Amino acid sequence: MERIELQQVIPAVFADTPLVGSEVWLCRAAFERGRSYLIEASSGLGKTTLCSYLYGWRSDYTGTILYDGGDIRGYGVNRWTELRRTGMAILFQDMKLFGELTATENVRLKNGLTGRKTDGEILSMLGRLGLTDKADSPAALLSAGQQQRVAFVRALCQPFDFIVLDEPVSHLDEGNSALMRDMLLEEAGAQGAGIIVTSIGKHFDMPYDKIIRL
Amino acid sequence: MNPVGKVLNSNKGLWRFAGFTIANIAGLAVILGAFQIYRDASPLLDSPDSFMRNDYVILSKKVTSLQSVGVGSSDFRPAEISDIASQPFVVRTGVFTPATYHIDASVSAGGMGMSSFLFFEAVPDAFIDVRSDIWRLDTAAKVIPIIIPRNYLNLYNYGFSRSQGLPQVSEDLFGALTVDLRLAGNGHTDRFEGRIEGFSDRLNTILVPQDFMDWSNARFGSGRQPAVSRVIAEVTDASSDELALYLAGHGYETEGENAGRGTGAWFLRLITGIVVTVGLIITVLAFFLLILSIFLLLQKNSDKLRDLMLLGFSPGQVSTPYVRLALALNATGLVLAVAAVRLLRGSYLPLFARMTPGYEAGGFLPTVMLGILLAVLSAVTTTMLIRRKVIRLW
Repeated sequence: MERIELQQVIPAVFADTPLVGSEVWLCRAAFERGRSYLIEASSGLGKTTLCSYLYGWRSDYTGTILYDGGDIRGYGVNRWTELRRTGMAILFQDMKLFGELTATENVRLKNGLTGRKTDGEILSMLGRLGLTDKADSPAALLSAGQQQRVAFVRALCQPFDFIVLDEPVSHLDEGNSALMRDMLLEEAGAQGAGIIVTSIGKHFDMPYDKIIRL
Repeated sequence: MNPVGKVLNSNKGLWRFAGFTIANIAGLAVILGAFQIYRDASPLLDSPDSFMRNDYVILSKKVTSLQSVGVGSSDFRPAEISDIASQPFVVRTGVFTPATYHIDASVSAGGMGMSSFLFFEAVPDAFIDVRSDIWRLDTAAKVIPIIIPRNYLNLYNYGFSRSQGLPQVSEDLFGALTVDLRLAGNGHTDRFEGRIEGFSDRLNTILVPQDFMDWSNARFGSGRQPAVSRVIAEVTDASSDELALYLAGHGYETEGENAGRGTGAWFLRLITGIVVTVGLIITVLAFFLLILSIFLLLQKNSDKLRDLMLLGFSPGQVSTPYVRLALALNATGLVLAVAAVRLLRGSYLPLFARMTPGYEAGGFLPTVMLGILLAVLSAVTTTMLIRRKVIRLW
């Protein structure tokens, strides 16, 4: 997939609310593969909502979202399942880890679908983010920052054309944030993928191709 | 353990599933047990006449005192026969053809001889289930195949031989006897050998093949067309109400034990029907219990199921643990229910065998097949419902 385009999209919940100065809602906005985007907004302006539209688990909007020119409203269950395995990676704001599984098991769960990484690679990725001693702890017992890093590693365990990161560093310190950014740039660079990051202020310190106000 | 299974905790709620399994075993065992008993008991009530087709009745008119003095007749008129044939429950009809000539029979065995006048009758071959190469006219060999009432044998064995100090004779031995027959009339006299092909509980007559009867009536007979005093009819169901009403309405009588058997068979069917219905109700309730238990589990895990699908698991993949659970429970229920029926059967078959000599039980395989069919039906429906429920969570 090369291009994501939004045409006059507005969440149903905002239909009656006048939005001032948004460069996404009720506009024409596009994301291209190989480029990086930062979407900035204060709380309540629909960052997570946008991510949910792009990832296909909500569709309560008017307007059109096109993937390579095709309207995603027409996508069926199989198409989305395929896309979530091979086209689009995501780091959810609420992580969506399974508390009863260990950090490693959470990552393996996704990797089992794609076969993207070896067990050794998974452990070294977790290690790089300082999680070696937490690899076998149940995710429920990890701190929010640790969970964010586990979910990030899981997001990298698949091929992708775009990776969406919903407030990826909200729980991280500068050091971990920088480690994660480096890994992100390596993986996305290797795949030639587009990066879409949302933020309420804190974000990866990196040269974005475009900063968009939501 | 498979991480998806671990996430979904599909083994939770074991007590509910144990409840389903027990109810399912009970329901299936009742259905299969009733089915098996029906199949095993049917031979007890059905005809032991291996050579007579099953659902037929022999109709006759009551002989009254007036007829004895020449007023009225117990014969069937052609219109009456065609009326019987036109009834919806009658498949086909045939008439008894009596021999119109003189027959002498003599038997000699072990130096003793007996002789007697005899009579023959014939019914169309379609009503008789004997190999067609045996049941036919063979004038060259001078052998006549005969079916006699089993009562004759019983009369000899239990009445005559005991009182006269003669040996009792088994069916096989009796069948091996040959009877010397002398047929006479119309200026001809011929000797034949009679060979007993079988014994009948239902037909109170001495039966020979129709084509032999036609030939012999033409050769030895008086030439006049004999009146029809008995009609044989194949019916769709010998125990049906319509048939009973029709017979009563026209003052016809049926012969042999058929009526009693019909009532027995009717009761067996009725009771089996009731028991199978009860079994079906239990099974259906068990099925609902299973579905509800699985849906409860799905509902509890709906967030996790959604999250798994967001990670890229297909609805089919996340349904798998539940489908497997349903299949395993259904299979367990089936195996245990079949085992229970097997045990039950072991307890009554010897009794049935003692009740009826030469008893042959119905097979066990159809019951197993029926069980598999029901279990597969339940498994397929459950799988479909689980898939639908999961898709709805998408």
